[in-house]
Amino acid sequence: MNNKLLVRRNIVGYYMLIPATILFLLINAFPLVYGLILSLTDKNYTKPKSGKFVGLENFKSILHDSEFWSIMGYTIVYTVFVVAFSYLLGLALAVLLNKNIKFRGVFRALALFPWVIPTVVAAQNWRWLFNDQLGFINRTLMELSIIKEPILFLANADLARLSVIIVAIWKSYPFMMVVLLAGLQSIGDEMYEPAYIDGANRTKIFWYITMPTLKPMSIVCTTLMGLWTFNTLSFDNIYLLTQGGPSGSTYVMSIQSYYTAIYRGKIGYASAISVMMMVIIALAVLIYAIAKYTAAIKEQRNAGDVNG
Amino acid sequence: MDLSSIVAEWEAEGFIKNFPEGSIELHQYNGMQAGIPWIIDPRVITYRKDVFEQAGITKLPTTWDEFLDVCETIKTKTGMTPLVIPGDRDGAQVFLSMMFENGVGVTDSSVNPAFDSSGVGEVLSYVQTLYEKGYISSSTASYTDPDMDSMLLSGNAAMCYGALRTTVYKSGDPIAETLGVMPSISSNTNNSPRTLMWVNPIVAYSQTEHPEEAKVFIKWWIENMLPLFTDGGVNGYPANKGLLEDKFFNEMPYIAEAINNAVPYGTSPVWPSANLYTAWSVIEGENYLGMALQEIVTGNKDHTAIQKKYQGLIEQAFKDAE
Amino acid sequence: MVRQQSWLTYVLIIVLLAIVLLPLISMVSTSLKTDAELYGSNSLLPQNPTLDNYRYVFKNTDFPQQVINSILVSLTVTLISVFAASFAGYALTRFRGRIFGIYKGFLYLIQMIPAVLMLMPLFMVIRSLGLYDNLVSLMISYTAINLPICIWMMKSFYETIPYEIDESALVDGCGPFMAYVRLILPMSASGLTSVGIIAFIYAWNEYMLASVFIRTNTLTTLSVGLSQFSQQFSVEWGAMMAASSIATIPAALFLVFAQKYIVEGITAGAVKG
Repeated sequence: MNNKLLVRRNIVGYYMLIPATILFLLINAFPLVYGLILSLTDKNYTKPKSGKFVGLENFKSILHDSEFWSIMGYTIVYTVFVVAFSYLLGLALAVLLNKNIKFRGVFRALALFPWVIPTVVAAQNWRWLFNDQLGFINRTLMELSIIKEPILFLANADLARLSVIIVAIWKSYPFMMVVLLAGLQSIGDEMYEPAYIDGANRTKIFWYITMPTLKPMSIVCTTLMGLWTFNTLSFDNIYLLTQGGPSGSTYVMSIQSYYTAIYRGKIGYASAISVMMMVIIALAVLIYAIAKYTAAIKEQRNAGDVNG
Repeated sequence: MDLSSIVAEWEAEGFIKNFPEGSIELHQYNGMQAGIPWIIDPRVITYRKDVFEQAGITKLPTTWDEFLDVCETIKTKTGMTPLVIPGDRDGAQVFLSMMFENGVGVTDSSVNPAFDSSGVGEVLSYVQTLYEKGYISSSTASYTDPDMDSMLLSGNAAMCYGALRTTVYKSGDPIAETLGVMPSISSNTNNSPRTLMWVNPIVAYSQTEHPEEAKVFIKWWIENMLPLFTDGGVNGYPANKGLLEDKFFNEMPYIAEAINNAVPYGTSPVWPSANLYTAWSVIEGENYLGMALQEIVTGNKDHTAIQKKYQGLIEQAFKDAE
Repeated sequence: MVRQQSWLTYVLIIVLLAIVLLPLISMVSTSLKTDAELYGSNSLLPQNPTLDNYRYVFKNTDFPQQVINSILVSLTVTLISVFAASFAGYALTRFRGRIFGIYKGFLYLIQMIPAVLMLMPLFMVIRSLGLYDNLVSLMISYTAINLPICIWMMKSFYETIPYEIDESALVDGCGPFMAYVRLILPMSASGLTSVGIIAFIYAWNEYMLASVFIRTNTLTTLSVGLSQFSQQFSVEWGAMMAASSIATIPAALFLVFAQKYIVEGITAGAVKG
């Protein structure tokens, strides 16, 4: 194919990118650039004269704010816990629901329910279940005499931190399950047969055949869920469950940024907090890339050793 | 748009005394009358008369000590949670109302932040007593207004402190019919009962083409807007006290009690300062008072540290607002 | 595979599902309770089931309209996402050039933007377009926010389709676009389905943007509508749960019928990335 034809073909490719690009420029790119610019200013909606360029001043004060560090710590803990445990729960259900059993379709549909329930509905129902005197969980545990005093799921700072994570896991596992189930279905029986013939037990088969095959899907679903949880899902979930309380114990970075913008009008400072979120994600991606790179080099060296 | 001419006319006619104390001044901004008091929204202590009767309480409390005694009686005689207060943004308003009961506000009368005053410390101790003795739920920090109603209607609580429970009262639930509004109380040392009362204004935009007509209309409207409540079904109460005397409001005992027992003690949120100051929106928005309340009801006993922390934040809000 | 009917599997599944579905069971059951029962009893199931709460929601609230709004928004988002992602995904796999490389990097970058960072600037864009308090604002925002992952899924999907197929069409004298429309698009059903599902569920669930971009009650989505049930100083737990059940039903029905295609679609699309 000559170059001219290639260029002509590429033009079609550019055309096909147009619809997505228009939306990106409008909804993503402009707000992103504007947000980045705002983070370098002292823009404040309550002050008409604000908005001048202050360089990295906002970032300096964020880094000196001890509250920011604890909020950032909790945001990372929250994300890691939600991703790890929703992955484990999703994996367990995927393995169970991949078996050839009766009512498999119904069970699968039921297990996917939390995914399609609007976060608002989920939050309200969990608030209802968590209530100290009227909630189902506490009333049942008290009636069974398992506990004497109600558990203060959302009123105790540490428990509230845990409770919002539990609800997030509950909301997130179906996505993990779907992706892993899809992965499991791509494993044909022929992959298991040699193992069965060798007389390997189920645990061994799971660790040496199933898990390695699921590795690419596992990376995809945990990465995506990590990004979503960190960037957006944590906001809706926590805002609707505790609004960040009690006494700010369930603040995550997105909540802090939102409150700073909405209630204080400090748009510049709020934008800087969100930019910090992007920095953390970029760092995580960088660490991941380095780990992958060193692993690849190691493998290459090992392969070299064997060959040599 | 400046509406001070309406106020001037009312002053001349003597009509001005129909408005709650401080409510006209509250809506003055930079020497301009930016709004006219329209609808009131008082914080009240709603209580179940049947429970009080059952517990043998004949005299309603007037001071904090008497209130604590009442709580103890209800707790021992009925096993109920005596009082429910919300712990969220609505809780902030209850906390502010309790500050008023003790005669202190967020600022002093010269509009300097005063959250570190000894008066605020006394309020923190009072709330801590309520919390530690189990007079309010140990889960208070997570309660919202609807939780308050659930506790009341499920028979788990005898009193609640917050906005008027009008919807609950009109729900027709048997418990709703036993509700009353307690006369506003004051702390032991402060002999002047007060309760927080919002007064929402009606405003006119300066872009209007007919400013004079607008003013005439607003004046007439505030003086004669009764049908809004009687026929319009609006769940609010007019700031113009004259209208509150209508039998529509007084036919409902719960509402009548609110008008007689709480509204006269209604205090503007920014009291003891007269006007709304810019920092107020930050203090309210960031929920500093609610967060201070949450500290107490999650077991923080270091009052000095709490006062220092939120005094600092409030001072910062004032600085930011300059 | 042999039908493995060990009772242990069933017990495990049922116990896990019972825990996981507890909020849903309590939601539906609460919606069927009378007020007296709601506060008085602790039984999970209603003793005297009533539809009063549902009647109330349909008669006295804007909720039915809000459900329609949500369906409208979600379907539009799904439709635009599927087309735009399919176009872009195809372009990114079949064409070579620096722009396409940069574009892929750009997609990764967009995925990293926190929604709160965009909230205020996006609000300004929406207002200057005259779309404040208009469902279109949600339609375009949801689509754009979801598009990177959708494009990425479609790209992975198209990579699994051998290039020889479209090459053969090109040899026959078709332009690349016609090759896409005639040959590739008809083969993409499962990939498009999974993209559509991801987009639909996001739009159905979203709360933050809807609460900021829409002001009028009859124009808002069910997420915001539901949150208002608990903000009106009222105690309408029964009605709120009835509304929640109504909000969940379309999605639930959709799941029962579509779960097979969801899994298949994702097998075809996402996991090959």
